[in-house]
Amino acid sequence: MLSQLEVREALVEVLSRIEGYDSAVIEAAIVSRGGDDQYELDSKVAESVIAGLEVLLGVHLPGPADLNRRQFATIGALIRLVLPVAMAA
Amino acid sequence: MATFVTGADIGDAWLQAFSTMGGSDKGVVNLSVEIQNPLIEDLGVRGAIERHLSALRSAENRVQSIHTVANTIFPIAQYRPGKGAADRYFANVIEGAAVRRGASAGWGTYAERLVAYPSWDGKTTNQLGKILERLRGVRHWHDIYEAPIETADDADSTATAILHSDVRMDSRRRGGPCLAHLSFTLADGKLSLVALYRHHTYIDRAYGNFVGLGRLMNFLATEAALEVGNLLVVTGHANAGLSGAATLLTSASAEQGTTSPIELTARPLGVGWQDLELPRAARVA
Repeated sequence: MLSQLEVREALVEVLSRIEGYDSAVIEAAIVSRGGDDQYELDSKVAESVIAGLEVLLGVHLPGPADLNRRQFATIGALIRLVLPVAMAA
Repeated sequence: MATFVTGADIGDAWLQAFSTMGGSDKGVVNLSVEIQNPLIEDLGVRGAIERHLSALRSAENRVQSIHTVANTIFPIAQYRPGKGAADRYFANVIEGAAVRRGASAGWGTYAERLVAYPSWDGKTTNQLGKILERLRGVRHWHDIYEAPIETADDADSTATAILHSDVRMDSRRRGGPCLAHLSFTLADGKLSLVALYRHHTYIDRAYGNFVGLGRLMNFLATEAALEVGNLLVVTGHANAGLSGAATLLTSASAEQGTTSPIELTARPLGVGWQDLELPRAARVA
């Protein structure tokens, strides 16, 4: 069972690989945007993040086709999407 | 009779091509459209199209924004120039495709077929990677940069659809992939492109496809240290595809004239693209 902190760390790790930056750069960008709920994710980037999290966390997540756009529009929204699945794993 | 039009930018070319259809859905056969500068668009023309699409959008008619259509060819947020950018783009496109499963996966996207083209033996080929490798290695005119989109299986899609009759096959029978082939040419340090469509609907797809192709050209040119040349889009059958062609032709013609460079790369970290999603019909003036 994974905690919210662990899920968030995993998400930032995957996102940093996708964007080609260190995690510290991503974290700084999150702060500058105003937090997890203000850091917006493009839908295509969100697809890659979900796929990366499935591998990293060993869980099966819903794909964007099964979701409302708001459910993967920000880092905060994606954490709320992944957390119940990760906690149940 | 074939038709040829040439436009200075994406908006100008789209409008001239759309004008040949005379405001009806009858369409034209063998339409060739040259876009002299595929990195420039016309915000007036684009705005007219997007307002028209927004007004047509309903629960039954799930039209996509120009941004979304462009993303099917080149998902712009996946490309952030810098060290290792091309390989990262390829990996991101492939990784993202993994979460589209079942019926939602359909036949994939053009972007996926360009970086993971399916072969009969189950393996895939990174066509863009191969083209980029050649562009980086050959600095003179050459015509070896070909990228097919359709597979042999696609050619049989109508027959196959009857056998399977599921959402995936139905959608293929009705539409994509309409983009069949890309042919790049390098001459005088400029990368030009011929794109071949078997069918192209102009109200909902053509402008977005032009933007996506422009971004694709920019990606290859940037990564190979080249300049972008012109874009020629050849279509077997081009038509409006949605209702209101005469109205749109009038509004787009009236609003043409505000040119702007298209966006070519990912936005700053944490900045999304919601502003390019279709406005709700209620907001349309």
